[in-house]
Amino acid sequence: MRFWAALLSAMLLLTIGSIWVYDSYENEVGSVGPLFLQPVEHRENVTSLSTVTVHTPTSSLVEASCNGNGVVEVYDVLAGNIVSRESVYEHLTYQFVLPHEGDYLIVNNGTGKLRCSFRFIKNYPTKDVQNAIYGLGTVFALLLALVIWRWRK
Amino acid sequence: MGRLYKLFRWEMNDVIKNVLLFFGILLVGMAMKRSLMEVSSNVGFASGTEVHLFGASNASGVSTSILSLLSLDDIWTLLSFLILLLGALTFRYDRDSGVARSIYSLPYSNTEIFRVRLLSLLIYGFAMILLPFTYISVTTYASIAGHLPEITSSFIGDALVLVVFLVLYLIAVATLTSLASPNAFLAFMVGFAVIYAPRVTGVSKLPPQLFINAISRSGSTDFTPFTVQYIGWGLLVPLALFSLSWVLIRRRDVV
Repeated sequence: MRFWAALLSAMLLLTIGSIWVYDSYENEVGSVGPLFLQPVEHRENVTSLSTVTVHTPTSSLVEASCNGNGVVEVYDVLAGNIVSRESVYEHLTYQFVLPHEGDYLIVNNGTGKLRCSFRFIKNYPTKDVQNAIYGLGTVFALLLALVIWRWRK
Repeated sequence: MGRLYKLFRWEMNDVIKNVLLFFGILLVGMAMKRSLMEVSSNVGFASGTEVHLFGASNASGVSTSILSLLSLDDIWTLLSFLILLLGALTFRYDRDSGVARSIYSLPYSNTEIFRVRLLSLLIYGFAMILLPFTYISVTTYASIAGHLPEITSSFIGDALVLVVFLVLYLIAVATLTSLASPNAFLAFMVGFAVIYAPRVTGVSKLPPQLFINAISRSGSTDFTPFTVQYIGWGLLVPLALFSLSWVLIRRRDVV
């Protein structure tokens, strides 16, 4: 009984702690770069490209600041779909949203060279993450209530 | 069986051990969660007729982040501290406080008491690392939870084997020092010295540093935890220490 109560209350507090960690991480500005993005080269059958993989633990609002000429493309590595595409002439600052946590691939699909830096200005857990945390938190709380109720008897 | 189960329930529901379990799970989990919260990037180059850029095998950021949860220095410092305390509480403290006189006079053999206590210590030790690890990795990556088995499949087996080796080693040291020393405080200090001496002197050939370094390497090509070095320190040495402890608990009077 006491073992399960200790275990469940630790997991319940860990759930609350996770929510607190997300709250404090929300405005923590992370930065990647400046990065040199070489254009994708096609020579006969061979494709060569330099890639940048970015990992974010939450969904994020990213501010990109680029110099040079080219097309910045951001792909979701797991799903393989495109998240953002912007053409850059001389200089461009723009914002885009990474829809969920995980890995993203940044490539330059233009002809010229680019130098970009990315600032992660807002970080929020996605709805799925929130559902998982609140759902598991509820389960831990109910089980803990059950354990304590049985203990009383 | 009911007889041994009663003993087992006593061991699992000890108040001080439960408090340690509570703080262990909570602090290990928070350390893991906090360590995940940062953006990282990785520059690479791909070339060829067919370039594979997408899919779970290319999600290197997620897999390194999850693997790094198990090789955090903070977590193993905390865990070795807690496991040594738990070992001293399980095998030594009852003798200091005098409770042991009544427990060992019950109709249980010393071997039975040893087996049950070791089992409870193993459950405590593994719960403190595996529960927070599972919880944190599943909830942090809940949006891509469907891909997690595929992403982690390359390293999770090796990493978990090494975690088992390391926890077994820590528990074995805690058990033997507790049974061999004259009081709980000394047991804790001697165990502390045995675990920490290799770390502070920078000897990476001895556990725990041996395993912590190995965990971060798991999943890379030509690495396997099933070598003489890892099995020796993670399985044979703990077995030797456990059997020595067993001899000690059978031979030594309860004082």
